[in-house]
Amino acid sequence: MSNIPGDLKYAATHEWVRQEGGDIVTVGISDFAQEQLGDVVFVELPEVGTNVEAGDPIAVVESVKAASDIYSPVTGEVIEVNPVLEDAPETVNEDSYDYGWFFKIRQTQGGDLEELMDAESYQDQCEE
Amino acid sequence: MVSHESAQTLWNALLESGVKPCGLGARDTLRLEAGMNLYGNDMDESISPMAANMAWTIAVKDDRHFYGKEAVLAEKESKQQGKLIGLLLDGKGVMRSHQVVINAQGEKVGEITSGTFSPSLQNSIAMARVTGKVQSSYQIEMRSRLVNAKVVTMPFVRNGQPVYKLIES
Repeated sequence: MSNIPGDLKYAATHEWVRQEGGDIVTVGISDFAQEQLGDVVFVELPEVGTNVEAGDPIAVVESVKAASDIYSPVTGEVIEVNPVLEDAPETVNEDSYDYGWFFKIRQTQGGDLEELMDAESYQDQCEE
Repeated sequence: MVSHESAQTLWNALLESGVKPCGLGARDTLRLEAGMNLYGNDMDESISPMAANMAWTIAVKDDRHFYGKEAVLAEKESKQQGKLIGLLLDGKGVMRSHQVVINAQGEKVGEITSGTFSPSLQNSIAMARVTGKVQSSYQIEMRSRLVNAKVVTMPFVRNGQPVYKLIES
């Protein structure tokens, strides 16, 4: 059973979103996603300052098995990326919800996360 | 061999006693570390043995004839299909099949036929088929990035230890 914290929102493509106050959100991938991917060996992150739209592929996770696109769950500007992942991509496997975060986005079209799932709906999706 | 009725019980008993399951992912990293072709990836009916690093399996130097000998000799002469080489990524990321290989002059000279992250080397390795004179390194087009890769001998790994050598052009 994977860990799905109740205070986060989730995208169907397995990203989690944490509201940090203001219009800023932190994004990473779920415990379920890291389990499915297996050992993460490389993460390609977007450039700080990039404008992204919800649904854009903006990062790539490489595990031994496969390369997977990571989609931005919101529309806005990338304001920070996790420097830890460059030298320690395995952090995504070890701590997907805290130290293994991917990027922070300042939302430019309001802070509306209603398109995303709550923990319960996401749990249902993972069990299907 | 066990009967299919017992397969599930056996599998679960093995898991419980600590045996780790492994499948195609493990098979693929092992065979690539060993420099072994995967049919359908690195070679198929349309690829000459000369272009699939398989020339050692064919006796072309003696007088014996075999079906296809002329075609093999013609390919050996023309090198039209290129050569299968080993690559060691000189940077971060993982080479994957169908990524484009670019030479020092900026020309597209081939593509990755198999690529993975080698658990033994903790580095990405690949096979690529390239045309033209083999260089000591190439650039690999990985999505939006160009990453340098060194040409090395295969196998990459034997008995868990690196055994590859760099190739000088």
